[in-house]
Amino acid sequence: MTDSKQTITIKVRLFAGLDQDANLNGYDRQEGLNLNVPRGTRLKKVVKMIGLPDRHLLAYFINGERVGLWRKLEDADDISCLKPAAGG
Amino acid sequence: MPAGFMGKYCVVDLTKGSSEVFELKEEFYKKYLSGYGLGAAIIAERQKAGIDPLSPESHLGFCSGLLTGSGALFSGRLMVVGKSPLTGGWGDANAGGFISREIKKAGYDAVFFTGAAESPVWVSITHDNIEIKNASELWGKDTFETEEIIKSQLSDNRVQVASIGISGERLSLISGIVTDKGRVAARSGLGAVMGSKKLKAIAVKGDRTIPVQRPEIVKKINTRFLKDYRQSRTSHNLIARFLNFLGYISSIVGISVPPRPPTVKEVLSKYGTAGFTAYYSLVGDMPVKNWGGIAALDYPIGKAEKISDDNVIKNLKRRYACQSCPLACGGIINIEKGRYQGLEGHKPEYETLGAFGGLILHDNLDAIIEINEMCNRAGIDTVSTGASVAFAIECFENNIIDESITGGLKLGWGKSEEIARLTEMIIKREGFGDTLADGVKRAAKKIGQGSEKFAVHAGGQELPMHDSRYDPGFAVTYKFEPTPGRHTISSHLYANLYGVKEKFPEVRRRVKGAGDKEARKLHLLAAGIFYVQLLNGCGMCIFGALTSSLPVVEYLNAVTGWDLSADEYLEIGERILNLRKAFNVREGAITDDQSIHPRALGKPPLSKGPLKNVTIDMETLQKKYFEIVGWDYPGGNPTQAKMKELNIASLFRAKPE
Repeated sequence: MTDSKQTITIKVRLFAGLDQDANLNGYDRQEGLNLNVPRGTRLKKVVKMIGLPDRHLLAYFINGERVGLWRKLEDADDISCLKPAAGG
Repeated sequence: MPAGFMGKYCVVDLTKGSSEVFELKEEFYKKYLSGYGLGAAIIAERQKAGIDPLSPESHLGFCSGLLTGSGALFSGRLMVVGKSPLTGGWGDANAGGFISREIKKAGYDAVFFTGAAESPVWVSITHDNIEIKNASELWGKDTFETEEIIKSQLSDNRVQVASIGISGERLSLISGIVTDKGRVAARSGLGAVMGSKKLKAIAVKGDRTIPVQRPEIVKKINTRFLKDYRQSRTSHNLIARFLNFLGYISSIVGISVPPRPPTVKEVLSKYGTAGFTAYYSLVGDMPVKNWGGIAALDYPIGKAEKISDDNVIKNLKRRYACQSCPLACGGIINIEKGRYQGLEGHKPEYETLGAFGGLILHDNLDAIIEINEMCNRAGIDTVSTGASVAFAIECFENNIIDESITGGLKLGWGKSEEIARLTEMIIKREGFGDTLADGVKRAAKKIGQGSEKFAVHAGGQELPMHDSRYDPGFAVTYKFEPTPGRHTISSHLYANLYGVKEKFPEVRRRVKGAGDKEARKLHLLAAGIFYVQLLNGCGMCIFGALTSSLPVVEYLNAVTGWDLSADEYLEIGERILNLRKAFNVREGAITDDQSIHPRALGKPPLSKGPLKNVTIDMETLQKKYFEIVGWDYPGGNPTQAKMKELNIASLFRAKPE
C-alpha cells in the first residue's frame, strides 16, 4: 500500500537494448516501466535500482529535457534513458 | 612489386558500343588512391568542362577502393562518381554490398561509362571481357527484378549487379543506383546520369587475384583489431577509465555525455542506424516539420520511439554484413503490411526513418517500411524524396498549392496514405510528382509564389536528417562540401569519434597552435573531412571509423607496400577534397549556388526545445574554415597556392565555355 503524499509515479522508457542490458525480462516497450518511488528520489537512484549498466555513459531526458543523474524526480515524470550516438 | 590496385580502368563508350582499357602507374595511386580520388582525377581529365551531366559527353564511374578486396576490414564500398545533375557540380555517392570487390576481381579499379546507347542496355563486365547487352525487356523493371533477371540469365547467383529503377530511367534528379537489392548510392542524382545513357544495369564478376604486398601483416592487423573490437564496451585502459570518469561527472550534473565509439558500435551492430532515431529526436539532431518544428512539441518521444530501435527490428529476419564488414549493421525484415506484405525487405536506415518520420511528423512504421521498399525498388534517394514530400506538405498547408495541383491529394503532416501516394507519384513522375522528382530547388522554381522559403536544401541538394543547429560542423559540410548537403563527411561530433587528433600528428600540431576554441574545433572538423576523403579513396565505410580506431594507415602500408606516414595519407585526403572542389570551380557550380537554407542555420531561431535560440554565425565559421583549408574568402575556391601545394593545378586549366 503506497501513500500518495509520500510517493510519486514515474514512467521510465528504455531504448536501444537497455532493457536487455539490465536483464529486465518482459519489459514492455509500449508501456515502459511505471514505478512508484518516494518523493524526493533522485534519478541516480532509480537508474541504479533498474540496474542499468554503465549508467554514467548514458543520456537521460525528462519530459524531453536533458537532465543529469542528480535531478530530483517529480510526479508523472516521463524519463527516457538512451545510449548517446552519432553517425548514420 | 606495388600492390593493392589493379593498375587499370576501363571506359565503355555506349554510343560507339566499344570499350577501351587504360593503364595507371603507381604514382597515380600514391597521389589519388582509388575510389573518389581516382574517379575525380579521371573525370577531370577526360570530361570537357561545362557539359550537361545528362548529355552523352558525361562520364559515370563505378570505382572500387584501394583497400577493397585486400582483406582489410570495412573496405567494401562501391563509389559512384560523375557530374551531378542535381547540383551542377561534382557528384558522388557510395553504397555497401559486394560489387566493389568484384570490379577489382574483374581486373579494374574502376569502370567508366560515356556516350549513350540508342536503346536500353546492360553491361556485363568480367575479366578481359566487356559485353553490352540489350536491356529492352529490363527497362521498366524495378531494381530487385532487374538483379534477379540478370542473375538468372547468367545462371550465376554470385554475379554482382548495380542498376537503376524507374526513377533513374525517368531521369529523376534525385535518383540513385542500387546494388544488392537495397544498398543505394543515393545522393547527387547519379541514377539520372545512368538513365540518360540508357544504361539499365551493370553486372560484374571476376576471378582475378587482388594483389596484396604483405598479406600476413593484414591478417595480424585484423586479428588485433577484431580482438579489441569484439571486446565488451567497458574498456580497461587508462584513457577509457579517464573518459568514463568524465562521463560520470557529466552525467551527474546533466552535461551532455558525448557518444563514444564502443557505444555507437553496440547500437549499430544490434539495430543498424535505426537504433539512433529516439536519441536523435530527443537531443535535437533530427530535424522535424521540414526543419521548422520543435521535436519536443511537434514530434515528442512517444512518436519517435515508434520508429526507433526495438520497434524497427521487431520483424527482423536476419542481420547481414557488407563485404569485409565485422559490424553487420544491415538487416532484412519480414514486411507485415502494405503492397509488399509477406515479402522480405531492408530494414529502413535512420535517414529514411527521419525523412519519412520526424521531417513530416509521421510515425506509422509500417507505412515507412513500405515507402522504403518502394524507393529502393525505384532507385530513388529516400532523403531527397522525404524532403520533397515535406516541402509539398508545407506548400499545401500555406495554400501555395491545392488539390487541383496535387491530383486530389489533401496533403498534411503525418498523413500516411497521402504521403505514400505522393511518393509513388514522385517515383513515377505522375502529375505533381513530376514537379517534385527533380528535388525541392527546382520544384520551388516551377511553383513560385514564395514556395522557395520551404525548399530546404544546400547547393541544390536536400539536407539530410542531422540538424546543423545541433552540431554546427554539419553546417560547414552541408554548405561547403563539393557535394553539398551530405551527412557522411564530418561534423564536430564525428571528428571526435574519428579520433583524428590521436591518429595524425600534424592535426595535433595544428590544433595546439590554433588561436581559440572555435579554431581548434574547425581544425578538427577539417581533419575529419580530409580523413573521410582518405577513407573514400580506400573504399572504406565511415561506420568503421565512427565505431573504432580504424587502422587505415597500417592497412594501406601493408596492402600497398608503401611506407607513408599518417600525415602523408591525410594529405592525400586533402587532395581528394580539393580535387572535387576544384571540379566545381571549373564547372561554375561553386559561385552559382553555395547556399544553405536559413532554417538550418537557426534563422529564425527555434523558441523552445534543445535547440532553443541557436543561431549559427556562418560568416565567422566560413572565414575561419576557408583559412584553415586554404580556400579564398568569400568565394570558397581552392587558392592557386593550395592547388600547387597539392599538385593538382594542372588538371584544371580548362574553364567552362
